[in-house]
Amino acid sequence: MVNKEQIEQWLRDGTITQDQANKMLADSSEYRKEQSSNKLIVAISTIGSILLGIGAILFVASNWAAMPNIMKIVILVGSTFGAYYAGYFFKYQKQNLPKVGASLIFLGALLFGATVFLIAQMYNINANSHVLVLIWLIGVLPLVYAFQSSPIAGLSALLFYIWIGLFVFKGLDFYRAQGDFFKLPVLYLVSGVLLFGIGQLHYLSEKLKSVARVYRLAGIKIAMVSLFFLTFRFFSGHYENYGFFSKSLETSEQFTFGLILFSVIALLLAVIGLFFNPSKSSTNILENSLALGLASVALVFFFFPATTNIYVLLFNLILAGLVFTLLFVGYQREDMQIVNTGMFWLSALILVRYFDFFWDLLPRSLFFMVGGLILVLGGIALEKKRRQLKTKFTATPTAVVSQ
Amino acid sequence: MDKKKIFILLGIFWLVIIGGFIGFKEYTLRTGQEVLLKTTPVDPRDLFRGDYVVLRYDISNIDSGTVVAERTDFKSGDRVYVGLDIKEKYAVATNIYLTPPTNGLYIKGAVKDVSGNRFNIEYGIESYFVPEGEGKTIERQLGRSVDVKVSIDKSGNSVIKALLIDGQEVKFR
Repeated sequence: MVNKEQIEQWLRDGTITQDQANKMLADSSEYRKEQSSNKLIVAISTIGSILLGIGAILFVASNWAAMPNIMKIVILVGSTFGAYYAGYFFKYQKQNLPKVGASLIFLGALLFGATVFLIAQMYNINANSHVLVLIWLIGVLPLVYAFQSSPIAGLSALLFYIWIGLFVFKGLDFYRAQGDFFKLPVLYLVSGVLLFGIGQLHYLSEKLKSVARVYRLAGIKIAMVSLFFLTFRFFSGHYENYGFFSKSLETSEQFTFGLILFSVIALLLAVIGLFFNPSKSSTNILENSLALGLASVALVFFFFPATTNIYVLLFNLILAGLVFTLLFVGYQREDMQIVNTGMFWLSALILVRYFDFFWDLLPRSLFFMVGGLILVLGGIALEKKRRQLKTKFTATPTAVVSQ
Repeated sequence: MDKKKIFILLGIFWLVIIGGFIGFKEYTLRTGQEVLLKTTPVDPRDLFRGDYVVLRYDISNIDSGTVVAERTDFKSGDRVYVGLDIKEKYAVATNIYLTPPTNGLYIKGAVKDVSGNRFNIEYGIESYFVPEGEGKTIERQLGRSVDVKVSIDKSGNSVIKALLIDGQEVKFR
C-alpha cells in the first residue's frame, strides 16, 4: 500500500490529480485501519488459542479423577489438533499470518507432548519414562522438516538431550548409577558434537538452513556446558580422591554403548564435514577439526580414566581454547549469538577458576572484594565490548550470517 | 508434495502415535488377566508429572532361592519374564525366564540391579498417579494392606487397574 509521502510526491509531480490524491489518501487510511484491526484480531486470537491450550490441560489436570478417560482424551487431542490446524490455516491456507501460524504450529507440538504425558499418566505409566520423551521427539521431528520450523528444531534438540539423560538412568538406582553419573558430561559432550555434525548436514538443503543453525548452536551450547562440568575435579579428576564415590565407578552397558555409538557417528560427521564443507563455511577446517578433537578426547577420557588430575587441566585448556575460538569465529562472521556464547563462558570460566585458585590463598575479606571488583569491572568491559561489536555488526551492510 | 498433503499426513502420524499408545494400553487392560499384587507405597513428588505414588511390589525384589531362574548372573537392564502363580489371592513369582514362556501367567520386566542373591526388577507399573495433594493420603495408609490390581496380557505387558487399601478400591472425590 502506498504512503502519504508518495501520494504527495505524485501530486507535486503532476502524476495524479487532487481528486485522485484525496481518494488514494482515504483508501490508504481505510486500509491501515483495517490492517490495524486485523492485527488486533490476530493478537487476541493468538493469546486466545494459547489460553485455550493451557486451559484444556489445566481443566483435565484439575478434574483428573472426576472425568471419564474418553473425555480427557477428546479435550487433549482436540486442543492439540486445534492448534495445529489453526497454525496451518494461518500460515499456509490463508497465508496472511505466517508468524502467528508458525507459533500455533509450535503450540501444537508442545500440546502433543502434553497429550502424550497426560495419557501416560492416565495409564499410570512409570514417571520419568524415557519412552515418553522419545515418543514426543518422534512426533515433532517431522514438523521440523515439513515446516522448516526453528522453534520446533530447538524443541527437538532439547528433547534429544532430555531423552539421553532419562535413557541413561532408566531403571538405575543412584548408588548403582554412580559411574554413569560421573561420566554423564562426557556423553553430553559427545552428543553436543554429534548434534553439531547433524546440523552441519542440514546445510545440504537450502530450505533447512535455519534448522541447521539451530542444531549447530544447540550442539555448541551443550558441548560448552559439558566441558564446563568437566573442568571440575569432581568430574574429571582422580576418583580415589572422593572416598565414598571411589567404588563402583563402572558405567552401565547402555551408557557405554550410547557413548561409543554417538562418538562414532560424531567422528564420521566431522570427517564428512571436513571433506565436503556442507555449510560452505570459511572456518570449516577449524570447526570440524575441533569436533574431531573433542569426540576423540571424550573417548580417550572415557576409556583411559585418570590416575592423576591431568584431565582437569586438559579440559580447562580445551574450554578456554573453545571460548577464544567462538569469539574468533563470531567476530569473523559478525554473529552476535556466537560472540555472546563465547563471552558468557569466558566469564563463567574466569569466575570459577578465581574461586578455585584464590579461595585458600587470600584472606576472605580480600577474596570477596577482589572478586567483586573483577566481576564489576569485567562485566563493564565485556558489556562495552559486546555493544561495540553489536553496533559494528549491525552497521556493516554485509552482516548477513546464517552459519 | 504440497503443504496440504504434508499437513494431513503429519496429522495422521500424530493420530497413529496417540491412537497406538492408547490402543496398546487398552488392549492390555481389556484382554489381560487380572491379578492382585502386594505393594509398599512411598511418596515422592515429581514436578513434571504431578502427584504420584511410587509402588514397590513383593515381586519387585525376588530372592533367587525362592524362584527357578534360567540364569542368575543378570545385569542391570536385562529383559526378563517373571512366571507368576496365584497364592492366597496374590500373584507371587515362581520363575524367571529369559524368553517369554509358552504357557502360564507371566509378567514382562527389566532387571534394575542385582544385590547378592536378590534381583530387583522393574515392570513399568511402579507409578500410580493421584490428584494433586492426595499422595500423602495414600502414604498415611502405610500400616494397612495396600494392593494393586493389575491387568497382564498374554505377552506379559501390564497396566495398573486400581489401587486397593484394605481390599477397597481407592477412589478420589
